[in-house]
Order: sequence, then structure tokens, then C-alpha cells
Amino acid sequence: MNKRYLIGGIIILLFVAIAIYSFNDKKVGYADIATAATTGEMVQVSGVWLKDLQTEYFSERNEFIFHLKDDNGAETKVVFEGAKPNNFELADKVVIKGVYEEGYFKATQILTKCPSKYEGKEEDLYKS
Amino acid sequence: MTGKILVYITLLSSISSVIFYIIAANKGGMFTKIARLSYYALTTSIVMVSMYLLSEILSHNYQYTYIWEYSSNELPNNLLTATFYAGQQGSFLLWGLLLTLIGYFLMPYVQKHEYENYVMAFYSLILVFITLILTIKSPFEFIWESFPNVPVGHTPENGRGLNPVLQNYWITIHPPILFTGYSAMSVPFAFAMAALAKRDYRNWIKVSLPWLLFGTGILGFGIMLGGFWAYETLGWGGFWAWDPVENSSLIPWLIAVSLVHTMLVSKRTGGLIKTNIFLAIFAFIAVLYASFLTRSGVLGDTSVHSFVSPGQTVYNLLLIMMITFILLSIVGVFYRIKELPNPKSTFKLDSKEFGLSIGSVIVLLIAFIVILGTSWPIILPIFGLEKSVIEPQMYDQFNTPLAIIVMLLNSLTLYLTWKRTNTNHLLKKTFPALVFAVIFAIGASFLGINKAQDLVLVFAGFFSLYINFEFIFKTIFKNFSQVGSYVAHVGVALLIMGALFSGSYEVKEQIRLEKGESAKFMDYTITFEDKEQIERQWKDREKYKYNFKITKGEETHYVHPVVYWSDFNKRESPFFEPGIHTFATKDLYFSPYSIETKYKNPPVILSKNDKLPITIDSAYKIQLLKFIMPGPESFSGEQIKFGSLVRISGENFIKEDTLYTIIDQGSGYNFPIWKSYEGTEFDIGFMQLDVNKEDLGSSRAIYAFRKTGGEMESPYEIFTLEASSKPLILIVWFGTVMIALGFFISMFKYIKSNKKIRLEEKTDGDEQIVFSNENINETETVSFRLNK
Repeated sequence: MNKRYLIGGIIILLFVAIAIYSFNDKKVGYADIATAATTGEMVQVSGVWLKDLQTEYFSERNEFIFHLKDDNGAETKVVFEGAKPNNFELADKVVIKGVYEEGYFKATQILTKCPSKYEGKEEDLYKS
Repeated sequence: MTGKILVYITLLSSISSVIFYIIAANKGGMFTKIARLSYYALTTSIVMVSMYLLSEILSHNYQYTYIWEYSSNELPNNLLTATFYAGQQGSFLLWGLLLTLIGYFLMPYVQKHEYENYVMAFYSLILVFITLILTIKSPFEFIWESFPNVPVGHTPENGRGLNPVLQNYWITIHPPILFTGYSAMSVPFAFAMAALAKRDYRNWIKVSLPWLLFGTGILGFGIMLGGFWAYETLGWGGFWAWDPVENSSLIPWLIAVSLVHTMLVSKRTGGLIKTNIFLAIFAFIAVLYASFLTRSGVLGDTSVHSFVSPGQTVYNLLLIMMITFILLSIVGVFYRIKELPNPKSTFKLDSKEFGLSIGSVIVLLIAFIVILGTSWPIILPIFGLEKSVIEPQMYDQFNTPLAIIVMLLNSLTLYLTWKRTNTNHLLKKTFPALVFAVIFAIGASFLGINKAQDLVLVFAGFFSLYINFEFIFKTIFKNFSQVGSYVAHVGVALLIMGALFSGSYEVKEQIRLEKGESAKFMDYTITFEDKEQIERQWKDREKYKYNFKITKGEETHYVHPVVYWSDFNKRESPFFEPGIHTFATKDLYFSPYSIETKYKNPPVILSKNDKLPITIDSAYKIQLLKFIMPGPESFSGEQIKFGSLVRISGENFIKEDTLYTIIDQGSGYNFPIWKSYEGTEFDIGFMQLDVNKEDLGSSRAIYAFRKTGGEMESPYEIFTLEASSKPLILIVWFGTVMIALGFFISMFKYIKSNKKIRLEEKTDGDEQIVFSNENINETETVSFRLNK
């Protein structure tokens, strides 16, 4: 009985250890643009979309290009392989996942945060 | 005020219910009656709160911030009703309402089973927290309370409206079903805690089992409805993305599934006493954890579901609620740890109870992977490590082998018998299933399933299907209520295989089409035919249904992706809905990427001194020399005639001319005055002035061209979409329905058998033990008596 529990326990612990190990191996860390540029690793960068700079989707090559300012104020051009996400304009915060290549951030995923979806702002009250 | 007062009444009555049920547990009698009255007061008041909120929503009372934030005059009634729970405040209220209603039906049930005081005390305690949150995060806050600068009594004319993405019938059904599932998970928890308090470690299992089955069935169904919603209208391409919000609802479900099986073992063998108590608590804590994850904003930047942080108070409250129940459970278990029965039963490796236990462990491991992965960004900072997230593929990687084991166990175990099994028999009995599964795995390899692990999964899936169907056919005519577990197992196998086929073996391709053009996708020819405007009655949107023709030989089908612009985002960019055509063996799924409007001979935009070719005849160029400021003669009514001096040049051709555009200040539209030039075949129109308010000098002019005297060309659209073929996705939905159905069938089985037990206890006190030969048909009465 006890031996069986022990063996079971060891197997489960082993499984847990493997899980933690490989999670740690495949994780994607958070970084700012500067770190992303120096390490060249797959990272997540959060920031805001720079509305005034080029923001365009090229359907011929399925590329969405925009510019992002990270939380430290550094700016980068972002090239995303895919279409512009729904709600992109509504987002007040954008999280991009990818690698920094020469001169731009090559994103494989974009998460858009839309608090406007859930929280109203005072100025909206006066719009009819 | 009414709303707030009612919320306070719910809080007070839930507190009173807890207090009097606790007193009643010791003193009984009259106190139970007071406690019941408190619970009735709670039920009445929370129903009234909900009805009040609903009626205020339906009558568009935008003085309430919550109603102003999520609804609008334009919404039809069914969607208006859904705005009840579109935000956090309302979803807490929905949770509280459903919890209370479930408790209302639970009360007479526990009364019959002599569990009322303790179960209802713990159950009401959950409601204390929910109603407390409602007093702080109230749906009845006035806008002048939310925004200090707004004058008291101000009533906005219209609400901000519901995100158009959410405006479909799914929002009316998915959340209530999911929350019913969450709420039902509180019942086994209350029972487990009551069992500890009552020192009754066995009886609670059979009494709470029907509730657990109900909760697990409905939660699973609710989760997958969300998946179907994402697939069918949100156009996420799949039904599951291992997103934290999806994961957080899956965790309690997995734990509950595990608990169902350990409870079965316990009922039959009397073992796993502690395991059951632990899992019942764990499943409920997982529900609290899910609501913490999705509502506290901790996973703010890791999920596509955007949840804004609800403010520090609610964050703390959610955390306190979770910690309170964890501590309460720990204290409960700690106080009873010594007297908790420790049955010295050893499960033999070839016994049914061993199979069930291992199955439960495997399901728990899946839950563990999901918990670990989802919590990763929260766990790391706790240990002072840098925050990071898990790639979604990791879940597939870990869970695929586990899913294989699950399917092998959920079939093989059916052939195991309690205590021990005749192993020779086993091989003989499962041989047909083995052959069947091998044939299908080989068949699958010819159909393109090419990874070894996937083939093993197909083998395990068909093995499970064969044996579970075999058991369904064996029992369905004899005793229908027995088939629940087999039906659910068939559902699991279908769901897992469907997920594999539709996910790993989908074919996808990006397609870019102009109107009238065709492209090849697999064996199909896809033609972009035209579009038609739909939902014209709504002024807040411009919605088009696109018609894409799919042909293959003689077959013709139509697929209709939808593109719309909404006032919700000021029509800045379109929203999309996928077009799907369902075949028996696959779905063709068209997910729109973008829609572009283009001209064959596009207009040109010029700043001062810019010179560009005239697109309709590029032998000529146009240059903007200067704008001509309008004099008094240019104004007539609301219209201004605005001029620009241009130079048109070509070979042996040069001409300077003033072109005018008429700006109608009323409508905001511009009208060009077209000009033609001898010797050329085009007209030029000054379409629009693009004013730069900060620097008038760098304003720009837009010029369009047409054939002399002809019509200006209309723009054409380019539709970019991702076409994909998702093999056998149908069995995913079918499997889901079977899983839910299986749980409900089993629920009725145990309700029936519990009734039978009670009746027999009353009629005879005979403790005779009856063994049945057919292990699968042994009635639950037997197990109950064995336990005694």
C-alpha cells in the first residue's frame, strides 16, 4: 500500500518537474523594446499604438504594419504576419509577441486591450 | 435607491441565514425555521434586485452608470436582457441569483437527507461574499457617483451600447449556462464541509453526487457553448485557444470530472474518503480562482478577453473570498484529520476501483497542467522571477498523451470488476475492440494522419468508442439510466478526436479576391460574387453579407462572411464574422482578414507644388500650384465654392486652370465641378479639400479623373480572407452534447437510486448483502449496503 503510494507519488512529482522544466524552457518573457533588441529572443512587449504613424494592412503579403511605443517610451515599427485585429483602434493598450529583427519588431501575435469595452469615460456622457 | 436597499437586504439576509443555520446545527428546532426564513428573504430580495435591474435596463434608465455603460436605445429586447450581465457588476448579480435559486431547490433536498443546517450554512456563506461584492461593486451606482463632475440628476440620452462583437444570441445563452455550472459546483463543496462538521464522511457522497453530476454536465456544456460562439461568430478559427479565460473555466470542470469518479470508487469500496473531501473543496476553490483570474485583471495582458481591473476593493474582496474558503477548508480538514476514516483497503492493479482512481489522477494531471500554465504569469513574480507566459502549444504537447491514457482507461475499466478481475477474460473480451481500433488507426494513416502519437490517439479513441458503444447496447434496453457514463465516454472520445482532426489536420490558405474573381482552394473554386446590405433597420451600423460561391464539379455552395461598420468604434474599422459551410466530413471556414476599397484609376492627393501622373492617362501630369481663397462671391447659402490653381502638362500640352469644388457645410459633402480639356480624353474633378488646421499652407487637394463626359468609375473591393478546411469538426460539437447528456442521464440515475434507498430504509431494516452477477447492472443499493 505505502509502496504503491510512494511510486505513484514519485511518478506524479516527476511529471510535475518535467512540466515546470519545459514550461520554463518554452516561456515567453515580458520585455521592453531595448531588451528585445539586444537579446533577440521571443518576448512580449506591451505598449500603446502610435496613431499618427503608418498603420496599414498589406493584403498582398498579409502584413499589418504599425508603430508602438513601449511602457518606457521607446518606439518601434511592428510588422505582424496577419490582418489587423478586430477592435485594434479601440485598444488603449497593445501587447505584441514576437522577435525584434533588424529595425523592426516581427510580431506573431497581437493582443488588444479594450477597457473602453467595459468602462465608460466621463466625456462620453455628453455625447448624444 | 431601491436597488441599493434591496442589495443590502440580500446581504443582511444571507448573513442571517449563515448565523441561524450555524446556531440551528447545535440547537435545531426553531432556529432552523428562522434560518429558512432568512434564506427565503434572501431568495426574494435577490430575485427582486434582478427584476429591478432588468426593468431599469428595459426602460433605459441611463442614470445608472452600469446601464449607461452597456446598453443603448437601439438594442432589441433579447440583447437588452443580456446587458444585465455584460459587465462585472451584473455578472456578479447573475452568479448570486443563480446560486440563490439553486440553493432554493437544494434546501428541501438537504432537509430530506438530514443535512440542512450545515450544508445551507456553508452555502449561504458563499452568498454572503457575493452579495457583499454587490454592495461595493454595485450595478445601481448613479453616474454622478461614478463621475464627480457630473451634475446630480443628469440623464444621458443614450447608453454607450454593447460591443457589436457580443451582439448575437450567444450572449443570451452562454453566460447564464456557464454561471449555472459555476454555481452548482458550490453544492458538493457545501456538502464536503458539512460532512466534516457532521462527522459523516460517507453518506454525503451519494447525497451530493446528483448535484455534482448536474454541475459538471452543465458547466462542460456552458464552456463548449463559449467555444462554439468563438468559432461560429467571432471567427477565431477554432473553438479552443487555451486562452486564460477558457482555461480558468476548464479547471473546475476537470476537477469535478475527477471527483465524479472518485465518488464512485468511494460508494463501492468505502475508500478514498479524504480524496473526495479534498476534491469537492478543490473544485469549488477552482471556481473562485476562475472568477479571480477573469475579474481581478491579474491576467490583463495575457488574454484576448479583455477584462479591466475592477478596482482595488473588488480585487481584495475576491482574494479574501478565495483565501477565506481555502482557510476554512484547511481548518475543517485539520480538525477532523485524526478521525477521518483511513480505510485499509488496497486497490488491486486489476480492479475496477484502481482503474477509476488512476483515471481520476490522469484527469487531475490535465487540470494541473492547465492550472500551472494559466497561473504561470502570476506564479513567477511570487517567487521573484521575471513574468512570462506559456505558449499555447505546450498544453497540447502535455495533454495529448494524457488524453490517450484517459480514453484507454475509460473503456478498459468498464471490463474490470470490483476487487479483482479475471485477466484472461479481459483480453478475450476486449479483443474485438483492439482489432476494431487497429483497423481504424491503419485507415487513419492512409487518410493522412501521419504522426505516431496522433495514430495512437486515434487507436485509443476508437478503442474507447467500441467498448463504450458495446456497453451502451448491452444496457440501454435493460436499464436506460445506466448508460450515462458510457454516453459521456463516447462524447469524450469524439471530442478529443474531433479536436485532433480539425486542429492538427486543417488546411488553410490566405485568399485575396476582387469582386468577380475566382481562386482555387483545395479542390474548390471560390468566387467572390457580390454583397448585400443586411439589418438595414439599424442606423448605428452598416452591415454587409458577402456572397462567395464554392464550386467543385457539379456541386455549388454559398458561404456568407459578414463585414460591418459600427458606431461603437466610430466606424473606424470593420468588424468581421466568418462564413462557414458545413459538410458531413468537414467545415469550410472563411475568416475575413480585410476589405479594401480601390480604384482602377485612383484619385491623386497633392500638396502645394506636388506633381503626379494623371492615373487615367499617365502621359499627362497634374501639379497643384496654389489654393485660391474664396472671396465673398464664393458663398451661397451653406455652400462654398473653393478653388485651386493647377497645371496640367503632357507632350506638347500645357495648361493652367482653376478647378473648383463645392463644399456643402450642411451635409459636409464636397461636389467637384468637372472640367474637360481639348486634345485629351479625360475630365478632372477637384473632389475634396483635406484641410490641415494647424498649417493651412500644407493642406492637400484630392483630384479624381474620368473619361471625357463619362461617369466616374465606382470603387471596387478586394476581400482578403483565410480559407480553411476543418476535418470532422462536427464530431466536436456532437461529442460535447453527448458528454453533457451522459452527465444528465447519470444524474437521474442517482436521484432515482437515492430515492429507492430512502424508501427501502423506511420499509425494511434488513441489512442483507446482495451480489449481482452482472457487474455493470449491480444496483447502487448494493453498494450502499456494502458501505454500511
